[in-house]
Parts: sequence; structure tokens; C-alpha cells
Amino acid sequence: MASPFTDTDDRVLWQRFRQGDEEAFTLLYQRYVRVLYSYGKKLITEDAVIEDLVQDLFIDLWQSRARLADAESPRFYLFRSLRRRIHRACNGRFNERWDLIDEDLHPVALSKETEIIESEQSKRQKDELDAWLKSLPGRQYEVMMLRYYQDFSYSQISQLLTINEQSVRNLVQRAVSKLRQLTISVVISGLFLFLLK
Amino acid sequence: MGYYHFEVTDFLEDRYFKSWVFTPSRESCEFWDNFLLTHPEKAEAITSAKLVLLGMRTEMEADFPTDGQVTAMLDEIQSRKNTASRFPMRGLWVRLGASLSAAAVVLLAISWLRQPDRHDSHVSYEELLSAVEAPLTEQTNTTTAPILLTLPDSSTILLQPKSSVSYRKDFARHALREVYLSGEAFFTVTKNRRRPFVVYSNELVTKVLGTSFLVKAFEDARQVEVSVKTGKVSVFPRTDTEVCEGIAQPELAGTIITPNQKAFFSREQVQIRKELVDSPEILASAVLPAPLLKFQDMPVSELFGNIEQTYGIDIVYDDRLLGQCLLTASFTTESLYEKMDLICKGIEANFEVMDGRMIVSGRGCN
Repeated sequence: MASPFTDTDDRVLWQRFRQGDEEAFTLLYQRYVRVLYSYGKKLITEDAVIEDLVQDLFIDLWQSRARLADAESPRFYLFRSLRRRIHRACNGRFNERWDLIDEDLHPVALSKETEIIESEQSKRQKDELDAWLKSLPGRQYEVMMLRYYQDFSYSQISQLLTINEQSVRNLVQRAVSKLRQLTISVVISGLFLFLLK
Repeated sequence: MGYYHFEVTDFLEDRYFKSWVFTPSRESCEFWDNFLLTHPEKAEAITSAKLVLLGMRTEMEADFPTDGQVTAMLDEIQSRKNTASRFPMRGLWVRLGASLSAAAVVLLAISWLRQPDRHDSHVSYEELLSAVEAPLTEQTNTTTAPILLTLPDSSTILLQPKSSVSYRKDFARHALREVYLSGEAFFTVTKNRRRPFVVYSNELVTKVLGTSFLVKAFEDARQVEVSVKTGKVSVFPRTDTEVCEGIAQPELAGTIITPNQKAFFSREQVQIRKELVDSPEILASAVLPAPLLKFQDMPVSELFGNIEQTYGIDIVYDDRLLGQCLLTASFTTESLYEKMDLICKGIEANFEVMDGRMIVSGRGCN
């Protein structure tokens, strides 16, 4: 839903681009370069590397346009290509099991002052949720983001991460169970402030 | 629609709900305002789901490229997309590689020549540098105040006077983020599990994935000291080949030190010893429980559990003897040691610090 463009719009562009329409190609780029780049940044921190990978992705896309099949979801196609490229760029050092690393001790960037001074309940809830998001192990965060922000289906995510669908669901489950523990502690009073906005 | 029995996750899955959060329309705002009025008990779940979605959007947007970057990348794509070569970068790499290996030969020759005059196991900063087969960037603090350096991955180094750090010129592209240190520096490392951050100082190697910690390693000192502020680091002697081979893996091997602990590496004995830092602090974390400040008739085991979690340390005690002792007290600004003192007085026990852990011994309460 973060993407205001439907797959149908994209497919029209995709078809035009495959026939060599430069304008359609540029439009696809403009639509997805930001989310692709930002997604890549979550996996590799260096700007220069992500820039290269995204550029190469689009250059290769243009050069192989005649061989490309019709894509059900061009957006999914782009995400998958980028992820594979990142995977390859890391030369296999990219660890597929990084979600299993013990992550109990997260450095959380919450200054003590703001925590203490902040008494307004809704603000605290927001902080807690922010901290929760930041504290999620990488893989859980990635799955949450792909499912809830990018709106990919569980089966698409399982193809993206090359793990089975049940594992994707488990990762979401694990992330959300932590969220539940947080929301239980929330007091209703602050909520009205939020609702009045 | 059956929204009245929705939980947070159901809202997160719901397209209509998400479109209201991300691109609210007048119609969807009316619907959800109305829904909240009739189902106030759902307000909490809705707020949580909304905040999760908005939080994720903020996180993603924080990493969006700038408009300038978007245009520059498009220009690059346009100019290269119709050229025949699909790998225009490769030529550059081959050339670069060739000049690097030439430099490496020279460096290797130097280190070969230097070898014989050192018979002990000590490794100096210069020796560390001479073993690196790539051009390095070096920063030395010749002033009397600490200076702050920023690495290409946005990690920072607070470099103390009379200290130097070096890192490869191609730091951003190398598989490992490697830094060589002589002297004292505080590192704040950005998180990247696929590219471990490694500090070489004398004979000690410190490896982290993203955390902040201090390394003290002066050439003439007898020990190297590493203390951790946040996260986790692993330390091991350079001679530990087993651990060194797995250095590119995200798993932390060797001796693990966590916040409030420090490691001393004795250069003579090639041995690592763990201790607590001088004044342990409460960990700043939203996933950990809050420190207990006031308690009444509380089993000491519960209290120790809370201290273990909030300070990230281990307390060793005999649960059968001491676990059920009850305590009533309140803490204000006491340090960890003062707190432990108070508790131990209350249950007639003693404590000592050994190997980075608190050992409590007593005869128990009846």
C-alpha cells in the first residue's frame, strides 16, 4: 500500500518498456528507485555500493528487455533482482541465517533523558514501538517491512528470501509476539489525544 | 466488515486499513473515526497498528536517496544503457588490482626484512600495517585533546592523544571493516551483520557487528584493554587461528564481552581475563525491564534477576540458600556495587567480582 501504483499500471508500463519505450522505462525507474534503494540500504550500508547495484539493475534490465517475460508484478521482479544482486555482491558472505544470531542486547538509541521527561502516554507508546521496530533482528524486520509496508504476499516474500512460506509466517509471528507484549502496557488515556488529531 | 474482532496483526494485514494509514481519504477517515466511536475498545489495537505502519514508513523514507542522487543515477543509467559492454567497471578493477598487488609485493618485502629483529610474540602497530596488502589511510592524533573521526560506513572513532588509526582506502568496499589501532580509541560502530567490524591492536583482535566500545592498546603497555558500552564484542589473540579463520562470519567467537564488562589481554601470557568495568551502568534499552527502585518483601532471586537484566551482568548464588530471602528497600542513585552491598547486608551475605561475574555467598535466611 506504500506503493500508490497498482500492479496493473506497472504491467502496462512493463509491456511498453519491453518494446523499447524509453519513457516507460524512465517512469518505472522513477516509481521504484527510492524504495529499492532504501530496501538495499537495509542490507548493505554503503551508499556507493547500493547506487552501483541499482544502476546495474536498470542497465541490465534495459539491455535484456527483449528477452524478458511478461511480469505479473514488475515491482516484485525488481525487488527480487535487486536482492539477488546484493546477494551476489556480497560473494556468499551474505548470511542467510542472520535472524538466528543472538540479539538480546540491542544498543537502542533512546536517551535516558527523553525517556524520563516524556510523560505523555501516546508519545511513550510511539517511542516504545519505534524502539521495538529498531530492536527487531534484521530478518524479522525485513519480513515485517516486505509484508506490511511493501505489501508483498507471503508467497512472494518466501521467493524473495528463498525460504519457505511457513518460515516467513514464523518470522512475522515472532516479531509480532514482541509487539503484543508492548501494547498490553499501553494506557487508554493518551489515545484520545491521538484520535482527536 | 468484522473489524470489531480484529487484533493488531489483522489490521496490519488489512488493505483498507493500510490505505487509510498511508493515503487517507475523506471517506476512509470518516469510516475509521466512526468505527472508533462505536468500538472504543479497538482504539489501542488501531493505534498500535497505525504506529507500526507509520514507523516502518519513516524508517524506509529515512533511507530514500536524495533527488540529486535519483537524477545522477538515472543519468548514469541513460549514458551506459546503450553501450555494448555490460561491465564497464571491470577494466578499472583489473588495473587497480594490478597496482595493488605490486604494492603488496613491496610491503611484503618490507615485512620480511623486518621480521628477524623481533623474536618475541609482540606485534607492533607498524608490523600490523606492513602486513596489509592495500593502500591505507592513516590518522594520528598529535594534539592534546581527543579527535572524532568518521569512517565511510558512518562509524565513528574518538581518537585519544598520542594514538593512531589506519584503515584501507577501499574500506567501504572491503568484505570486512578493518581498523588498526595504536593507543586508545572509543569506537561507535554502525550495525552491519554482513560486514563485521574488526579492530587490530597489538596482538589482540576485537570483532563486533555494531556496538560501541573502548580499546586501549599502547605499544609499550603490558596489556590491552577492551571495554563495552553497548552491544557485544568478541576478543581473541591474533594467534587463535581457528577464530581468525571465521572472522568474516557474523557469529561472534572467542571471548565475548557484553556491556559493563571489560577484557584484559595480558601480552606476556597471551591470556584474556574478564572483569566488570569500574562503574557499571544501567543499560539503555527498551526491550529490557526497568530497574527495580522500590520493593517490599521481595525474594532476593527476583531482585538479582532484575539487576542481571538491567546491567547485563551475571550474578552467581545458591538459589536454595539465598533465593527465598525477602528484602524491603528502595534505591535512588546507588551504583551497582553500592546496591549489591546493601542487598548483601540485608541477607547477611558477601559478594566478590570474579571473571566478570558477581559471586554472592552467604548462609541463607530462615
